Amino acid sequence: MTVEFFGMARELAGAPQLEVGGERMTERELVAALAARCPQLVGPVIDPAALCFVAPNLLLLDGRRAAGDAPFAAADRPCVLFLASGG
Amino acid sequence: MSGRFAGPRTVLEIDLTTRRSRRYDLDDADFADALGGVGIAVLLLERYLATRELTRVDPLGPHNPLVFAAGPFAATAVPAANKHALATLSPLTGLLNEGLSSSHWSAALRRCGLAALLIEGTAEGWTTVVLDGERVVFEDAAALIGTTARETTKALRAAWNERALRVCAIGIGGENGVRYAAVENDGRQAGRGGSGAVMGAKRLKAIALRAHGSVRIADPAAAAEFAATLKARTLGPQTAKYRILGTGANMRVLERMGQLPTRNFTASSFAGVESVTPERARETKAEYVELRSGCAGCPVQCEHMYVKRGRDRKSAAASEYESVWAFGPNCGIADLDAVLDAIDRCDRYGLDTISTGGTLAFAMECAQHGLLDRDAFGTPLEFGNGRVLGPAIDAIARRTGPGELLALGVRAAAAAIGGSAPRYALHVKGLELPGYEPRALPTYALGLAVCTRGACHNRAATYDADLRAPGTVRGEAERVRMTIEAEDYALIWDSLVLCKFIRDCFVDFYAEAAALWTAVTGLTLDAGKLRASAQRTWERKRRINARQGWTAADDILPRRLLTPLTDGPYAGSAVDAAELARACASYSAARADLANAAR
Repeated sequence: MTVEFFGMARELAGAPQLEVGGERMTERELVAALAARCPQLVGPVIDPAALCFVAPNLLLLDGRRAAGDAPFAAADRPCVLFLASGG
Repeated sequence: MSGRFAGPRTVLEIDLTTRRSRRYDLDDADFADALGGVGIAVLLLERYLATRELTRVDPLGPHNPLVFAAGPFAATAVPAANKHALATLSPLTGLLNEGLSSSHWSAALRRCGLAALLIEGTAEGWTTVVLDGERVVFEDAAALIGTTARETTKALRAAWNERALRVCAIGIGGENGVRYAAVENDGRQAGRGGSGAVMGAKRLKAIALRAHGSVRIADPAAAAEFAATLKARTLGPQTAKYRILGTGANMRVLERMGQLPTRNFTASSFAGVESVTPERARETKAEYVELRSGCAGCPVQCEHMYVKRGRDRKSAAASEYESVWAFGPNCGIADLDAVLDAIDRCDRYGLDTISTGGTLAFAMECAQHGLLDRDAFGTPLEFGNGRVLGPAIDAIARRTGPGELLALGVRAAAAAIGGSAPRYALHVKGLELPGYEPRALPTYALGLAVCTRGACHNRAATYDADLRAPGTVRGEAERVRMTIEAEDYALIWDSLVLCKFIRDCFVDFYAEAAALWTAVTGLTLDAGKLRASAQRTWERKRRINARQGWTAADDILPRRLLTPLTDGPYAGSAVDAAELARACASYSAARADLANAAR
């Protein structure tokens, strides 16, 4: 499935989106897949021990729904977003 | 309480009318009560109004004081702490306006032996005040009129033969009483609410500090150890977003989330976003040069400035999200050059970018409805036309043509224009809206409505929780609790004063901040007392506003936000006026309960 990147994830990956394998996956499975596919995300964007995104990076489906524990599909359009408060 | 406050405790009051000054010391109890920065500035402002029994003070009159209060960690090794607060009554809102600025000026204030500086009265002619150690010097500033804050700084440094002279000054906007004029020091601004217009009304062009002294720290070893730990953290992943990208990275994110306010909040998605996002300027290195800047004593250096290749680097403009949003999506303009030029002009004139952009978006919509002359600036005053930004900002700063009206801000301009104009005036209590969409962010909507400053996004980051979990339905009680927590948290940061961009660098903020405070000041403090301080300062803010005529009926949002969004994933979303009124009432009741519990 295609994962859209914003902010630091995009900066580190050097691309606005990335393909990862799997038709359906949970957030933890996506984090693991991204860590393997794009190791430069590990640390600043991905916490490899907890298998989650490091704040302020977060996963939202179609940019507006939290993934929760349930699996999601490519049609859910996963986005790794990034919020920098203030400015 | 133990010990004695180690830092400067003196308040210097200067009366510009009589050219007299006096000094007095704050007690340990004052610092324990209000900490510093915003807390002390608000405390002094309320005391000033209360002892003189002043109510409904004209913000542009002689009885509106300007109160500068240094952060208690300024001039120490604590990183991101060289900041000061500026409290006054806003000519936009008529209510309390407390802002922050950063860098050398705050450290110099403390090194002049001052915790705070209060300026009242009105000078007979344009004046510069110079604090030369303990000496107060009044100088004729007539020759500085018409210059930018940076030019003023340069001229004063030359005149005093002092490269380290620290200057805060107003530009042409403040001189001409633009109600959203800023006060600038060291290239940083206390931007919102029109403090620059207050300074201009006092005919005070600049305040210069020639600092001779040093600042005593209660426990230098403990303070240095903590400062070193914090500095190391500020260079880590917690601030990478600010160091590498800056806040401008929010532009693409909010567009993707379907909540980027566009064309004066008539839409929530901007087709031209890719043309104005600062990230694009970063990515297209062939077109733009990126420069970095930051405040004194801050390792983060968060400011990312851009200038088109081949142009004068002095015209590089900061690409903060709010500024780019105000002239970009909010004016429907997809021309990064025009947006950066508008930001640069505002900085040179000393104008708040959010209010200037908001006022121009309002003007564009008024012109669209035939309420303002579409051709007044020589190029159409309409959404999407980047060419109009420059001449319109020039006219506002100089108060010429329609700029005379637009210099009043959207609320007053709409009242003067009449007809349907108030419908296009996006403000809370007179302060123009920042770049978040309240119809998609219910906790933020409440925080915005009750904010004592008006539509300020920095007095409570209530949008954070909504953005991180969009679509989450929160009950009224939870939103009230989150709003109060966010306000108090921000108030502590603004009183200590620490830059909120390092907030993720604390492991346990309340405990660590209390320990740092004790090491630097010598006064003991714990997490509970920190929180109690925030509640007390909030009460003072509200009492000041009540003196100025605020009532609960003022805690409302503009009518446009009560009508549903028509585009994007939040189409159909609106703020429910009755529900908001109930939440505001619950908020006030909860604040009153906290006040009673503290007594």
